[in-house]
Amino acid sequence: MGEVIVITSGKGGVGKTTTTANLGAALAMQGKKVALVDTDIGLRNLDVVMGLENRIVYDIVDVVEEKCKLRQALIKDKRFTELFLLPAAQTRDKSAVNEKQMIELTNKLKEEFDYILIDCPAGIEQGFKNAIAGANRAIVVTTAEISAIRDADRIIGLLESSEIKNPELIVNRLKPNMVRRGEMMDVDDIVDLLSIELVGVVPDDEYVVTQTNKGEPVVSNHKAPSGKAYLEIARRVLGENIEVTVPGREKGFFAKLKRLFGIK
Amino acid sequence: MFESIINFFKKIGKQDKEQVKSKDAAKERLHLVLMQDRANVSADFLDLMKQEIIEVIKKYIDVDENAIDVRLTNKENEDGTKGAPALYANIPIVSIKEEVKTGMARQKDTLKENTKTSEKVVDKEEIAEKKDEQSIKEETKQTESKKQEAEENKEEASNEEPKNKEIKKEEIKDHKQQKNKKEEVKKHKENQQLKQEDANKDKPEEKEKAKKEDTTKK
Repeated sequence: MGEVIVITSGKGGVGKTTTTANLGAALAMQGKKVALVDTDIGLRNLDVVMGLENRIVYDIVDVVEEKCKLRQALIKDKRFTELFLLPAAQTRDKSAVNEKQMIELTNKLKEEFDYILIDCPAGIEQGFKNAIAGANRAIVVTTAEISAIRDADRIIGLLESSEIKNPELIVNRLKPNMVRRGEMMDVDDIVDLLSIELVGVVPDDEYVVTQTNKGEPVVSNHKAPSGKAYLEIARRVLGENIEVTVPGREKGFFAKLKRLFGIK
Repeated sequence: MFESIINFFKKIGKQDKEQVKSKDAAKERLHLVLMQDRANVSADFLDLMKQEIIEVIKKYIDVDENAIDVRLTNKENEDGTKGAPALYANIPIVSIKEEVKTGMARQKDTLKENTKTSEKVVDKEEIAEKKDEQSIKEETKQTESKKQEAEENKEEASNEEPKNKEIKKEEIKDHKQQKNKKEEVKKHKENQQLKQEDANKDKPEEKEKAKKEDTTKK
């Protein structure tokens, strides 16, 4: 039986889709059979982030309405051994799917896959309810911004009042230089505020933009610091007990020099 | 060359000091906002409570209403981490009311009054009414205390002490002549007040905590 993990945030634009794509790719690189499900009906984007937009024939609504078989709608990502995408419909809205249908869908996927990652839409309405309906685990993505953290807190509350306990946290787009100058909230501050377990920290990285431009996950680029962060997150998701690397906290010569001058 | 490097680092150092605020401001604001979100209380809840606290305190002491700072924060633990939520109130004292100082009998009376009013149901209109009554009382009391101040001034003007902990002596000082000194004392008192507040915090804090737990359970 596979595990269903919903990637959620409350606020839009914090990197749910990017996280879903890259965590999925990273898990597939670890030899797991992974399905990515885009539940952002009407505003689908996981397909373009993955670079699979030209291969869509059927979507999640077609599956739910039984216009096609689940297998027909799943798009195989040829760059990875066992990575599949179930795209969202673009011409429908969130009401096209209900929670019961999502539970049925994830139950079917669980039989075949090790990990099912669900890309949740922004907001706390029907789309969110659908996305979490079939999930047994949740990863909350936030940035160090006040609005994202507030929304994450709200989402955590909603998750905990649903059946999903112990959501995990990814702090995305951290700018180590700003943290060092005291202009951005520290990872520790965010974890303190939200008081859930930290599963990874992804640095703000231009590679995310360039890789997404090409429709490739950033984990395929070995130079990208964000890609490394996602690979580490995948290992922690798999249950490895490794310490979370916080960008900007490495102990280099410059770090020591800067500390000497009181720049933390 | 060497100087320019030092200047560069000095600049960075300066920036650091100035802009630590933005991070801390974010943290502080989030603390409050999250607490309100979690407890599901409205924004004017704090204002209502603040008004009532002021009404009660005004019976005993003259306070600077504009400088009053009441907010919800997280109490800082000994190791510097944020602990349980706490109600923080910083209330600068202008002076202690004459009637309170002069006799215990009167104090008892005001205490009775106090309990009576607190028994009443909180209502915005009611508070406004009380406020009016209060302000009239305030004015008469202030004129009284001014007269006494003037008298005492004559008597004790010669032996003034700049930093005196006793509130009674603060009144003696002339407002215009010794503004600076007064401010110093005020600051000192604010600190004292803070300490008192800290000491008194425990009880309301527990209540707050219990409240919070209740709401989260819901």
